[in-house]
Amino acid sequence: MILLEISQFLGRLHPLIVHLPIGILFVILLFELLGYKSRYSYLRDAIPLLSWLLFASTLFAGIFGYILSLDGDYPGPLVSQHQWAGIILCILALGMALLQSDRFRQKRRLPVVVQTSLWVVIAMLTTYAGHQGGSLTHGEDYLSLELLKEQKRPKPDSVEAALVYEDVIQPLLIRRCGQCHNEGKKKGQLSVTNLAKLLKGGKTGPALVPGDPEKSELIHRIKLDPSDEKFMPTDGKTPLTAEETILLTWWVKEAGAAEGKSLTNLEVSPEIRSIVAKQLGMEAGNGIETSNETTEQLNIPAGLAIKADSTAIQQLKAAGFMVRLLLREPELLDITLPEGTKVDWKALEPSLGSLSKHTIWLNLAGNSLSEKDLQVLTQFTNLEKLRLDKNPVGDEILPLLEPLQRLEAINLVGTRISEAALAKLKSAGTIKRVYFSETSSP
Amino acid sequence: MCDSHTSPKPPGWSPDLDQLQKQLDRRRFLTRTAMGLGSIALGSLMGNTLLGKSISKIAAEDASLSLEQEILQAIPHLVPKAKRVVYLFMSGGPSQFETFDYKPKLLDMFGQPLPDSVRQGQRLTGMSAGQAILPVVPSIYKFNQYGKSNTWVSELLPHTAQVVDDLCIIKSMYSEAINHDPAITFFQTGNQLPGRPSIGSWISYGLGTDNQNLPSFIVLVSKNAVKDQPLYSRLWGNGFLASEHQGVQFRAGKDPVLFLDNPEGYDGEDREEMLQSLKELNTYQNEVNKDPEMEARIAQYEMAYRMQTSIPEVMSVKDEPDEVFELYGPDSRDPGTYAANCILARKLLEKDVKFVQLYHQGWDHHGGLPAGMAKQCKDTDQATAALIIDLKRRGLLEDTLVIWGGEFGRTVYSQGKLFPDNYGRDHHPRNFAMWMAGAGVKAGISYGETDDFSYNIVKDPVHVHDFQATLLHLMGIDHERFTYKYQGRRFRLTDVHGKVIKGILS
Repeated sequence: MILLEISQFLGRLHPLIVHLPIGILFVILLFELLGYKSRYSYLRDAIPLLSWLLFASTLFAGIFGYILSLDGDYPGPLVSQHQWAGIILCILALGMALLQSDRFRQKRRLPVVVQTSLWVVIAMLTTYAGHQGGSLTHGEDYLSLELLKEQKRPKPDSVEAALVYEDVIQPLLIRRCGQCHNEGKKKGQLSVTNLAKLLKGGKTGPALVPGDPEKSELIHRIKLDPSDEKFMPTDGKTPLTAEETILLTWWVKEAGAAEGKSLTNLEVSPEIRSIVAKQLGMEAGNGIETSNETTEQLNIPAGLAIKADSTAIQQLKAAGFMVRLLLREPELLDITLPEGTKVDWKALEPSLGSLSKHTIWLNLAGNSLSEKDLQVLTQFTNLEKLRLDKNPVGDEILPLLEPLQRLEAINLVGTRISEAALAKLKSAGTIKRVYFSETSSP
Repeated sequence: MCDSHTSPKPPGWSPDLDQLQKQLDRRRFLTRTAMGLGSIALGSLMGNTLLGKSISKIAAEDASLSLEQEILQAIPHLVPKAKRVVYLFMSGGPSQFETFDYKPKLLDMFGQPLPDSVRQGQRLTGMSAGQAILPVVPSIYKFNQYGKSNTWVSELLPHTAQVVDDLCIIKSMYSEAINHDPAITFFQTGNQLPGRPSIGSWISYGLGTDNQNLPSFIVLVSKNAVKDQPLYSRLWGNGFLASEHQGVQFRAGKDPVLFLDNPEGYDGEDREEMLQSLKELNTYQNEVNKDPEMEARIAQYEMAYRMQTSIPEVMSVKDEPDEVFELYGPDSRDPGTYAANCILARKLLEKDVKFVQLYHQGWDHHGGLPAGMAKQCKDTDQATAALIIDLKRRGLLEDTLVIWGGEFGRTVYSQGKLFPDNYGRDHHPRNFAMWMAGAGVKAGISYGETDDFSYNIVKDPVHVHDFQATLLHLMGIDHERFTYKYQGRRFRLTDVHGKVIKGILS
């Protein structure tokens, strides 16, 4: 396993090592040309050594490149062309080094101009090979004249002004899929750079069928189970979010996978509208309910600091409380005072108070607490579950519970509360479950 | 048998070398040297920040420790619904036909061979594969509708029928294993082969304890059951997790934990002091040997000491009013029975024990099913329903999850000869029924559907891994992020499978 990873790692050094021969070649050319001036003619003496260095570095770059190609992450003919260019360069470098060795020179010396032009040829071949290498890593259109002609769309002012494909879908697809499916790399022969290419599709046919998400290969692939071989994005890359999937599906189905449409001439649910707004980095305009609804579903009280007061937690723990984390961001707490723990209640009230907003479950069962001790309860406005069972609590507890607008369940088993007060509690506010029974308190 | 501890040691063996080998095994040695030297060599190419990081990681005492802490510190991943779980495991594979999966159309098909279109060539066990015909047999017991949810329940479960509005019955459970051992192991550990941690151990490891004086995972096995299929302690074992997370099995009977009382002539006054000295010795030993089992041992000694006071308190039922025993049924006064274990479970849950698991064996009715099912249901029905009622009236069902179920279901055809009043059913993992109740699950619903033969699932299948994922979800854990690295691989309770069953969440 480790060996395998090391070879992969070494292969990735190829793009780094190739710059060695390029640099050496540059120096050789420079010395060669400067050598025409008699002032610098001594530089030519360095060229035989540099030629050997060039050969050695080219050989290394070639070996690392071969290891990289074994990874199989790069497609087809470009790799083999690049490989051949590298091999030829390596042979030429060896040839040049031999031509300039003392043994050869004693037999026959090449005319200087021939030698210079040979170096120029090698430099041109290197440029070609380098460009191929760049195309492999960055995609073929990375260094293309098309770039100069392209115009970036200005960011729309509002959700209404935005065009669905141009401003939302296209950037989304390029961001999420473009790394592999661009004009250069085109894995599976698919490019997502523009709509025409998407409709044309790739190896398995059109990526999109306007109006029919089920038949659209792209939608099908992103909706597969992530463990499926055909799931996209592949190779453990981050899957599309649920919102992105919903948006793409909607665009294919309702917007007919077309260009040039804005939200105003389409039927848009508040959900889609808020997703579009989010993608554009704007707050949703009127249909705000959606985002609020999601926080409601997650049941996280708004406006909380991420961290609860840690000194207060320490104080409570030291006094015998159990403080359990129910969520990390923001920190939500479940505080329990184990049954029959003797605590200095008055002294701990400030600590309880400072944790009141972060506490959503509170369990004070069986600790001989009465209403007088429980004034601090009014501060626990985010509380969802409260246990006061087996405490001498009476009807006077009701006013203390009024500020607890998020309270869902309360346990009053074995308290002194009256039937009438119970009925009042059940009918009021958000409380869904009230537990009370006289018989079960041993 | 190889008697390793008396066999001669190889030349050059020494206890120190042996310990060293435990600390620095082959894998760790290779990782450290290969990656250590390799990263120094390559580091100069890669820049200093990366190098600094990797070396400091390698230099850390134990590289996997930081990963462990990282994973643990992310828990809980979501707001939990359940604080504790009681899992009533009906070992042997209770028949869905005589309990919850009502199939009236079978009444007209008594004795007819099972159509091939239903079976679709699926595998059978070796016990019935050779049978000349596979005669369809309907439930001999009648069904009625109960509760506001109008749920069909068999007449064998009159008490459970009374609490049916609190249950979420899953009729579309399915498993991969067709025999008891692999199927139970699969249910409890997520893998058919032994060796993985059980559900309760995972939860103890991930969430810790809410009561320092009791183990967080306790197992109770009924004494009043047919022990035709064995249970094994690995079903509540800790696998590769630290030993203190294994389930603690209480003995069925009057003394659930042995040797809690001080021996005669010893008043226990200096026990704390003695344990403190022992801890110091163990800690010293641990510094030398770095054996994780040593830490587990220290933790267990301390737990045992605290249990000397906590166990007698929790086991004592003399304060329970008669009304409680009446609720749980006549068996409940006899310690070690299923009913008594249900009372004990409630008391443990009241003390915030995180995971209580009851095992009741004897549900494996290959033959004589009508009589066998009647006995099994009689032994468990009332106490099971009583547990729900008792937890509910105490307000504990609010944050307690109750689970009832076995390891697989049973076949629609009779195994062996079919008589009008007697039949058997073979193992059937392709669908079976179980139920959950309490914290975070919908009450009074049935989830999933099977075909008219209760042979194949036609709607909402729930795999064992889905059940496990949902259980963890209710406890606030994302099953995909809860891993433990062991022997170079990260393990999960749900392996690489499992989806939370959204449809049953309240």
